[in-house]
Parts: sequence; structure tokens; C-alpha cells
Amino acid sequence: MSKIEVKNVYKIFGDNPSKVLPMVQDGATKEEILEKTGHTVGLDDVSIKVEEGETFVCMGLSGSGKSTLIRHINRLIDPTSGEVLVEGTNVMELDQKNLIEFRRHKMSMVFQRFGLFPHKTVIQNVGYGLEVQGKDLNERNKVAMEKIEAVGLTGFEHQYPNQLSGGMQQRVGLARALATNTDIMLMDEAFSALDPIIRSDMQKQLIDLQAELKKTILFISHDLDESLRLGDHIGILNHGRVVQIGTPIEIIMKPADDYVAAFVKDVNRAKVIKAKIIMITPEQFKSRKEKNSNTIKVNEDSFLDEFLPKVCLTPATVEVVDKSGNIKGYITEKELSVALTKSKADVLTKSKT
Amino acid sequence: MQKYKKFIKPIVITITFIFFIIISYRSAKPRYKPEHFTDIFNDFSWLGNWPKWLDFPLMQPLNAGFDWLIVNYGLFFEAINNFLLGLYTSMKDFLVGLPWPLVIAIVIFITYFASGRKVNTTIAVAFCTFFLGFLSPRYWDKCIMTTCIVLIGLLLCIVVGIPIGIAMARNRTVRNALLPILDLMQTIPSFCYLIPGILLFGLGAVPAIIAIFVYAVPPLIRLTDLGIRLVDKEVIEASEAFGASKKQTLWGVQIPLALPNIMQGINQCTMMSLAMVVIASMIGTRGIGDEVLLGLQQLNVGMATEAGIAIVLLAIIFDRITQSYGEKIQERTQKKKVFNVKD
Amino acid sequence: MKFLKNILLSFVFAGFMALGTTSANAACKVHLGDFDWDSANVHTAIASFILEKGYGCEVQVTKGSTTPIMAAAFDQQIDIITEVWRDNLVQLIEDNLAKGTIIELGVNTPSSTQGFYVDKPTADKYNLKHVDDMKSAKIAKLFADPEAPGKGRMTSCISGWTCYTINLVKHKVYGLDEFYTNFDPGSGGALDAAIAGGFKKGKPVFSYYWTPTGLMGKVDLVKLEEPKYDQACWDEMTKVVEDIKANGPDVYKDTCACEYVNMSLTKAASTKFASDAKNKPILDFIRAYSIPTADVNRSLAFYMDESGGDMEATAKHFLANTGMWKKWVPADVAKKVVASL
Repeated sequence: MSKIEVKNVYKIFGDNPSKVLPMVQDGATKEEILEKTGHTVGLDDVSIKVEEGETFVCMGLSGSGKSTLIRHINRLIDPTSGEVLVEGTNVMELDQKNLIEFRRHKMSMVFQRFGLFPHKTVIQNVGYGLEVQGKDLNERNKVAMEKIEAVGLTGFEHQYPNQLSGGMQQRVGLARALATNTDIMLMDEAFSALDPIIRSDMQKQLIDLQAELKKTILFISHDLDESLRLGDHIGILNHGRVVQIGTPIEIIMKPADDYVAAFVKDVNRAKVIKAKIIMITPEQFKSRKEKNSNTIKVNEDSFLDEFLPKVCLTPATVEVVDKSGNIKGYITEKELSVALTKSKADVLTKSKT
Repeated sequence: MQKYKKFIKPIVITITFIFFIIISYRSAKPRYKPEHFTDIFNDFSWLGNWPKWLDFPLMQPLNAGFDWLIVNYGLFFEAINNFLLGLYTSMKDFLVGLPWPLVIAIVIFITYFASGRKVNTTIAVAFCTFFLGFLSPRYWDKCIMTTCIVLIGLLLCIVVGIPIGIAMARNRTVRNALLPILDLMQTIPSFCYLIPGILLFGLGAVPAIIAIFVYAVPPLIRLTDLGIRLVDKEVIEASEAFGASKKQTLWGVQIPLALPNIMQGINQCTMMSLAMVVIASMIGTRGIGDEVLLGLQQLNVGMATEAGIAIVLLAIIFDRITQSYGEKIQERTQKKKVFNVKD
Repeated sequence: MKFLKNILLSFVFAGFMALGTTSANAACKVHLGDFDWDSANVHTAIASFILEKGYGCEVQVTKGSTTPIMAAAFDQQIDIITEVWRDNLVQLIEDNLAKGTIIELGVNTPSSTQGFYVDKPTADKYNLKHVDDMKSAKIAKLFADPEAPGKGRMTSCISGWTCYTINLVKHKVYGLDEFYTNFDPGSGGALDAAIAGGFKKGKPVFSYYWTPTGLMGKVDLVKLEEPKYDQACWDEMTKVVEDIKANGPDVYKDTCACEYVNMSLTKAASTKFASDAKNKPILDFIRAYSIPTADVNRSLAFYMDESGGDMEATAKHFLANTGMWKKWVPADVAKKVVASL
């Protein structure tokens, strides 16, 4: 059972969505619906599955429906049709009291423009989820301080949000989401409002936290690089429809249609492809009988652009090792050139030969 | 059927209008009407001066309704009268009884802490308060009377107005129903509710308090409604996303963030209350207002001006206290950037 | 084209000038002084109607309380006042007659009453006949003043009327001030509303009131007796009254007081208006103008009940239904007035 499952969800905005629904189900496009009925199609037969412990990134341009989708998970928006299951429970069937309990204990959310309470201090903001649950002040402050330290904001706990910079505010938002210790985190373009350097730092921080906490994260983004960096799986939305779901490599290497292809056209593959993806097994390497005068050891999880310059300077063969130092595979110039060209070459299948 | 929906409103309005005309014709006295109804289409003299049979019968039913109200609900109004009067008298007697330096000290104390320890504001307010008595000794007690009425009126406005404003912000139907009533309350001439106030409550402080309520509560309600609706949608989403109940969101997030607007509403309410108190002196309400009236009626320009200055000073005192409190709250939520903060 | 436009504009301009000048050359202009109670209002309305429609005069009306209107008349700003409560203002009037600022034009309403009234049910129940009957704590409690605990309230005149100060002095002289407040209701409308409200709610009413008025015919008020009228006593009292009006209540000194006499209400004109020869027809009209008390009461009842608050309609009703006014004006004026009814 997936942690989060969205099944055939339709969302239509307007005065009479249920009447317009059959038209959408028959296959009318967003433009047609808007022209004929004045209704806006937010989501068109969207189905995704998010497994426990993974980071699922929903990607798309503005108007693709991704912000609408994420708000279905905690039922800030009700679908016109379809099911939203969290740990097997249909969110739509929960009554008000149970829905509140659900929101308090099962999931937390981080917002694009931070969503911090301007009239509360940092520590009060971080402790908000616990405050709503009725926990007492001491307990709230204890947990809040832990999370504040975890995101590196020690010393700022009694400041107000408007005294902090954008990056710091979002760290508060992150700490607030962590404080309730929920399994699921919903992140709505959480880093989109930050400047590039801070953004990069926050992404790294999230990856570090995730390595430790292994939460189920549903992340919304419109930035391809961010999605590739953070996501275990990526779902691409266009005008409310799911266009492709796959791992980052699948998206890059095998775009489902021209829309996705346009997205990934300019991606820097060296930043995205990890060593372990394109390596060949030791047996394959031995069978090649390459002259390995120079070898460089590289961690299996490192990206190509981390070791590529070294390989170019001193023509060398790459030994791919894991954390303990065991050799997992090898990469030669052949693998590198295939991986980095923008043709539709099937790197994955190549590496298995 | 769908496309006929848009015709319903005009049809209803037309039918109601025809109904009004029929009522006015039937209730007009016989000497104002032509012999037979059809004569209207023969003899067009009624096109000259507005005909007497086109007179919507509002006055008689209103008077009759009012009399019925007084006769049947007299005790109810009596109770309201006694309650408000008791509140007013006890407040007034207490403040008048205090030695005046103590009253000035209390005002200084309130201003200092309401404004967030602003010294300039406190000094200005202290001066104005002192000048009230300095202008003319008998103004001191009168200003206290006026202040008591304004404060009680303000209290009534806050207790009734803010919940209504909140209800309007949360519910579209309530909002649409109340907006025309608020417009009515703000535009209807004050004597239209002052005189009925006398009939119901007698002369004095109570009709003034009721009049203050009618006149001054609409801006408070509107600004409360606006304040709550203007709260950043994302902040409310955040509150809901973390599992806050509607009540928790209202009290924990919406009201605190709407507070600057609400304070602005209270400030407006106070100013309009003060304006109304002066008008209320024309129905026998004692206070600084009747000094102005006295000056006017006895053609004593100096007296009227002096009393007018006292009213201006009172207005400054009220305004400064409520404004500075509002500013203090607003500092909290303003987008104030502090530099040299390392990320 | 431009030439034609200029010609057209010149004609329009000339036309406006002509209109303007003709109105400036109206046969006569009269500035009436009106007060803030209904009997004065009805006289001003009737006089205005006759002056406008009968004499073709341009009539301007200024309304206000006793003090400012009288002051304006003494200052020659107002031409004619149709109802003067002479005896209330006797010192003031005598002074100004001596100074030559106004002249008197005779009597308008021959009789009027003023006094302290109590509602009939309470008066009967407690046998209240004389002002001295009111001087007890038990009786005062019936008319309790909510803003002056321990005292009763007599709803009095508004501070702009002379009777306010007269009542103040009377309270002190009769010894009523120990038991009652001389309460200023703020406006004439408020006074009427307070009395009407009291009756509607069945509560005891103790108030100053007067005739001719519309309200008197509609509620059952009993007048309290006061010491009998004496000219010398009244004159002495009014001296103190004028003193207080000028210098404040602290200059009160013990004096005499007696009941409001049945006084006739007179008319006055400023000497500036009266000395202009072309105003003679108007002065003759105003001199002849006189309406008995009963008729004034009747008109005021019409005003309250049937006219819907329309003074002009009340004036027209009076003119249409009585003939006495025709004796005040020449025949041709009367004809014009009848024609415009």
C-alpha cells in the first residue's frame, strides 16, 4: 500500500463543477471547457502514488495544477471527483473532527511564501502545530528549540518573522513542519521564493534531513534542476494532466512527449546523473581489457560534474566505490561520452552490456 | 429553465413596484383621487404637480408601529434604560468625585502604556487633558460626562460591532444582508433616531448612547470585516494545514492579524461618537456639547468657540490614545527589514 | 459659425441679466424672523404666503432661538417678527424701544398661557393644584431625575428661550430648586417628545408648557397655580432675569416671582424697515394681522395631525378655510392669494 495515493482525481473550478465533469471525462481540453462553460479545469484525471520514505516531486509550469494537487492531500481543497488515500484512508470520508486530527498528526506543510504568523515569535511559530494539539508550553518550547537548532537558527527564537531574511523565514517554516514529527511533509514550492544561493543551501539541508529522517515528502516545484536534485520520483503535470511519472533519469533520458522533452532539453546532465547509474560492472570492465593506467576513486552517489574535470585533466578510468570502499563498478570514456550526449541513446541499457 | 433565472429579479422588482403604487392609490384620501380610476387616463392634470394619490403610506404605519412598540415592549426598553443609565451614572460619579490631578495621572498612565511608552504622545495628551479644565473650570466635569457617554457608547459598539464584523467576514449571506443596513445607519439623519430615542428612553444620556451606537458602529463593523478578510490567505492555509479548528484559526490567527484594522475601526468609532455627543446635546444630554449649544442659542460666540476648543482637545486625547495603541500593534506585523542579519 | 455662436451666447447672457435685474427690482423684499416653536412657525408661514403671492414680495426667512433672532432684529438685520412673547422679554423690549431700534405693531394673538403643568392622572391622584404642593420629597420622587439622584425633574425651556431663565428664577423663589432640576431638553422637538413619550408610557410628567401649541390639545395637562400676577413683581423679576442672561446664574439675587400672566403676543418691526416709505402697505398688513388663540390652536392641530409636518400646507389650509385674513389686506391682494391656493 502506498503512503499517499491519488486516484483519478478531477478538480473543476466554477459555479457548477459536477455538471461540467462529464465533458472533461469525455476528453475536452482546458481551453474548450473554459470557452464553453466558463469553468477552469484544475486537475484532469490525475493519479499518482507516493511510497513511504521517498521524495516525490510534482513538476510543471504555472497553471499546471500542481499547487491544486498538493492541497488535495490535506483536503484544503475538495476534489470534484476521484479519491485521495493516505495510508489507505480516504481523506474525503473523514468528518471535520477526524480531518483535524488527521492534519495534526499525519502531515505537515511548508509554503512558498513561508506562511509564518507575523504576530508570533520564531519559537511560537515553530511550536504552532503542537499548540494546536493542546500541548503545554514547556513541552512545545522544548521540541521547538530542538527543531530550531536542527535548521541552524539557534539564537533567533525570540525574533519576529519580519526581522528575518527570506531564507531564515523558510527555515522557520521547515522547522515548524518538522516539529509535529509527522510522517508526511507537503512542500508547496518551498524554495521558489528564495534567491539561488540560499535555495541551493536549503535543498542540501533538506537532503541531509531526509537522509536522517526518511519522511515521505510530496514536493512541488517548477524548477527542473531542483526536481532532479531532490526527487526520487518525478511527476510532470501539464494543464492539469499527468504527462509522465518516473525517476529523474527516466525523465531526462526518455521524455514521454514534446512537452517533457522541451523541459529537459537544456538540463545539465553532468549535474544530475550519478556515478552508479552509468557504471559498468567489474566483470564487464575486465572483459574490455582496458589499460587502466590512472584510476580515480569516486563515490557511487556522486554526480558526474563532481569528478568529470579530474577525468578530463588526467585521462583516467573511474573506480566507483561505495561508502566502505568496496569497488562497485567502473566508468570509462565510453560511458561518459554516451551519457553526456544529448541524443536519445539508451544509457541504462548500454551500461548493462 | 436556467436561462430564465436572470429574469426573476427584474420581474420581482416590477411586481413589487406595481404593488406599492396600488397601495398608495387605495390608501389616499377620497378628495385626492378622481371620481373613478379610469379618469386618470382622461384628465391628465395629475401630470402637473405630483398627485396626492401617488403618496406611499409610510408615515402612518411607522407611527402606529412605533406606538405599538412602546406600549408592548415598554418594560424591555425600561430595562435597557436602567442598565445603561446605571453604568453611566456610576462611571460619571466615580470620575467626577476623584481629585482632578488624579484623573490627569490616570490618563497619563493609560496613554503611556497604550502607546508603548512613547513619551511625546503622553506629554501631548497630558497637556490636552490639563487644558480641558484650564479653559474653564466648569468644563472639567462636563468633559467627564461626555467622556463617560463616549466610553459607554464605544463599549457597546465594540461588544456588538466586532462580532458582527467577524460574522460578516465569514459568511457571504450575512454580509450581503447587513451592508445595506449599515449604509442606512450611516446616512439616515441623526434626528430620525434621536427623537424615537427620547420617546423610548426619555431625555438624557441613554438616547445619546443609543444614537452613538447607530451612528458610530458601521465603520467599526466594516473595518473589522475588512481586517479579517484581508488576512493573508496563505497564513490562514498554514493554520488549517496544521490542524487548527475554525475557532482556533479565528482567535489565534485571524483576529490578532486583523487587529490593526480593528483598532482603526475603534478610532473611527470614537471620533464619530464624539461628534454624535455634541448633536445629542440637542436632546438634553449634559456634557461639553451643551456648552456649545448654549453659546449658539444665547449668541455668545466666545462661549461657543471655547467649548468648541474643548471638544477638539477631547478629540485629540481620544484619537492619540487609540491611534498609538493601534500603531503599537501594527509594528508587530509590519514588513520591517532589519539589516546586518547574517543568514 | 463662430460669429453665430457669439451672437447666441450674447442673447443668453442678456437674458440672464434681464432675469436677474427683474428679480432685483421685485416690488418689495421682506426678511422675516422665525423662532423654533410651532406657533411662531405658523404665523411666519401664513405671512410669507400672503406677502409672496398677494404682494409679490421676495420673502426671506431666518429661523432661530429667541436670543439670536431678537438680537438680529435689534441690529436691523431682520425686518419683521410676527410673534413676540413680549412680557417674557419686557425689559429687553422696553430698552430697545427707548433706543429706537424697533417699533411695535400691535397684538397678534390676544391670549396665551404659560406655566408649570402636571399630567392629569398624577395631579388628580396626589391632589396637586399649586406649585407648593410639589415641594415634597415624596412627590419629587414621582418625577425622579435619573441624572440627579434624590431630585425630581421639571422639563423646562431650552436655554435659548427666555422662559428658561424665568423658570430658573421661579424655582429659586418658590423653593422648588431644592426638590427639582430645571432641565433643559436641548431643542423644542425634544421637549415635545419628552412630554409625548411620558404620556405614551403612562409615566408622570412635570413640565413647563404653553399655548398656543399643537401638543396641548392632544395631551391632558393640568396647570399648577402660582402666586397671582402682579405687574411690579413681574417687572422686578424680569430685571433679575435679564441680569442673569447677560452675566450668568451667579448674579441671582432674591426677588419676587408670580405666575405667567395671560399675555398677548405682539408683533415688531425694525425701525430701518419701518422708516422706508415703500414698505407702508406691508406694515399696514402686519398691523392688521391678528389670529385668536383658538384658531391658532386649530391650525397647529392640523399641522400635527394632518399636514404631515408641512407648514406651508397648514398655512394654505388656514387661508382656504377662514375669512378673517381678508380683512387684513386690500381686495386685489386677497384675490391674488385666493387664486394661488
